[in-house]
This record gives sequence, structure tokens and C-alpha cells, in this order.
Amino acid sequence: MKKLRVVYYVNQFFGQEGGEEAASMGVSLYSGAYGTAKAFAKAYGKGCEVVATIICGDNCIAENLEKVGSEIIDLVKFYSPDAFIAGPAFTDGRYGIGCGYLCSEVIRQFNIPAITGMNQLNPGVELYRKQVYILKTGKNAISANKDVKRMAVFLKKLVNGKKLASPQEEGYFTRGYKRNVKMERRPAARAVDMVLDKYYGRPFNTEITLPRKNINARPAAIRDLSKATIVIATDGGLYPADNPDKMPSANADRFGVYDIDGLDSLKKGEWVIRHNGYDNSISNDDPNRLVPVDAMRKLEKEGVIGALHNKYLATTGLITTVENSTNTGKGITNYVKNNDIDAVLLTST
Amino acid sequence: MIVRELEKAGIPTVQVCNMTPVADAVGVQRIWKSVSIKYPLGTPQLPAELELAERVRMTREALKMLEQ
Repeated sequence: MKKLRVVYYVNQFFGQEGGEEAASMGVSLYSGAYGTAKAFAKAYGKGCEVVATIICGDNCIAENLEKVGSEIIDLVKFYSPDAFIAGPAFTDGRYGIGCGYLCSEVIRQFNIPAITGMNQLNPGVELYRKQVYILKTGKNAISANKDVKRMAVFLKKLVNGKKLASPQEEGYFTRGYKRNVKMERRPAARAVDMVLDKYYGRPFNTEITLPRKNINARPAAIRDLSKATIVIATDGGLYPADNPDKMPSANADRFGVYDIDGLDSLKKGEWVIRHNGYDNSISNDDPNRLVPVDAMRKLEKEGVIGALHNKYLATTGLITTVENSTNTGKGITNYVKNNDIDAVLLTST
Repeated sequence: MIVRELEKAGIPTVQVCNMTPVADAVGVQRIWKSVSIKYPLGTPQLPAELELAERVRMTREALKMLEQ
């Protein structure tokens, strides 16, 4: 029997190149299975051969998605595989976006099965779940073996043309398709059950999930920037060196307020980043690269803005639940309203 | 989600970020693409003076979005 030819994509970490310090590395290629791909090949068994493993740093691909993506797609094309696998990316947003983008492009251009895996906290899920089968995974590599095995089993189903069960049963994120299924009980009876479950506080599952898209209206423009007071906020986790509020390095549920009154610039060493999601060294070397106090002061002096608010706001946006980040957002909104601030400049990592 | 709350309250906000598809998917209205995930408003390859000038230019460009 002809073996299934697979090309596999992993980031620098799962390609055994290194951690954050290697996250800016470019594309490299291994003939055969490497890193996570080895575990995948083993899980799939005899019927599959990983012909190549492509590795790219998370920053490199996330910062140049289309350019680096097309470079990788060219490599995939060269091998003309039967299937493409990426990840799993767990909660890593940069990795997830890379995996999701590559899978969606492979499907679009070559029309072969392409799957990946992510945790529900990964922003890549919302961006790519409609185009790509994204299997639900744990939060980090602890569950890697189990997750990779499930990806192998799922791919086998796809290539063998087996009929898939519901997304819940198969363990992938819904893609927004509907399929007719015959139920034992009539809709009216099911609806009444659901109402009763809701009334008595019992768990229940809706049969049709409504899209929760509610885009805000664009806030009105500032009429005259030169009269406006601006506050700097960041989710990049920059705090005073002694971290007085004991801000966490992931999943912050709050924000800190830090005095910059009279400061023309943020000095190296006095402000330190606590954020486990990226290589902090370059912005630690010059904290203004993340919280641009020096540039804002210049613009204040030049009269481009009216004033820089005398404190900046900081939180750590990493693997942060929607609930926590929404609460932090509400808190920051209240702060802005109560402090005569006209607009916000928020820097994100 | 932070910007979403701010914009919901009608507060003009510009988000300086690199992974713009994420901000876009969340519905952020004013997005300025940063230099890098690791240093949003930095150009570490430049000497300090030029880097500051470049940061002033970039910050001004981002802030100008608030007037639109």
C-alpha cells in the first residue's frame, strides 16, 4: 500500500531549536520527521511517512505572515504531499496564527487535508476555525502526546473518507456548517427540556449557537489632538522593577497604574517586563520601546498632543481568559473616565 | 478585549500591535501595525538618537489615527 506523504510544520520550540531566544529564526527544513512530527508519525503508524518537517520561529512568521507563509507554502508545494499537519499550538497565539494560516493556505491552494490543534484560548481558533479543522488541545505541551495522537487518528479518518461525527464528539472547533441529523424526540419536546434545564440551573447545550459578534461603533475622532490628554496603556507587562503590585507574568486579572510624572524617559533597569510570552530582552534594554514615554514627552513639548497623562497603565496579556481581559478592560475604561483622559494609546506584544 | 471595552464606552483608542488579524477579529477600530511583537515602537538596529526620532515619528503616526 502506498504510504500517505505528510509535510509537518512546527515552531522553533517544538522543532528543538530553542525557546524565545530562537523565536525570530527564519524558515528551516528537515528531510523526514523531526520534533513533534516524530511523535505524530509514530502515532499514525505504518501508513504514513513524514517526508519533511518545516520549522520557523514564532515571531518570524507572525510578523510577516504572508511573506514567510508563501515561502513555506512553496516548500510544501515542492514535496506535493497528501496531507499537511501543523502544531499543535496549544495557547501560543503566534504559533496558532502561523499554523492556522498555513493550513488554510494549503487547503485553498492544493486542496489536500490540512489540520492543526489549539487550545480554546488561542486567538488562532477564531481566525481559522471556519477554513481548517482545528482539534481542541490542552493548554501546553503537557498534553502533547495525547493531542498529537488525536490529530493522527483524525487525519486517518479524513483521508479514509470516514464520516465525521459532530465537532463535539470529534473534538474539533465548530466550523459553522450545519448537517441534518435525525433526532429521537421532536423539537418542541427538546426545547421544553432545555427551558426546564435552564430554569433549574442544570447544564444544557443549545442546538444552534448564535454568532457572538457585536462590533462596536467607532468612537468619535478627537477633534484637536493638540488639546487632548492621552494615556499610555500596555498589555506587554512592563512594571516598576520591584513589581509592587505583584503582577503575574500570564493571565493577569487586573492592571497596574504607575507614576511617570516628571519623567522624560523610562530608564533601563528601573522598569522590568513580566510577561512569559515573548523575548523581553530588547524592550527591557529600552522600556520606551514598549511604553513610549520618551516619544510622548517630545510630542507633548512640540504641542502635537495636549498632555501625557502622568501615569501609565499596564497589564500582562498572555493566555488571558476573555473574562479576565474584559474585566481589565472595564477597569481601564473606568480609570480613563474618572481621570479627564481623552484618548488611549495601547501597545500590545 | 481591553480595547473592545474602551471603544464600547466611546473612548477613542489606538492599538499599536503586530498581530493585526487578531485585533481586527476582535473588532478593534483603530489599529496601527507595530514594528515587532517584542518591541512595538523600537528600532534597536538604529543608534539611540535616530531611534528616538523614529519612535516619535511612529508614535505621532499612530496618534494621528485618533483624529480620523
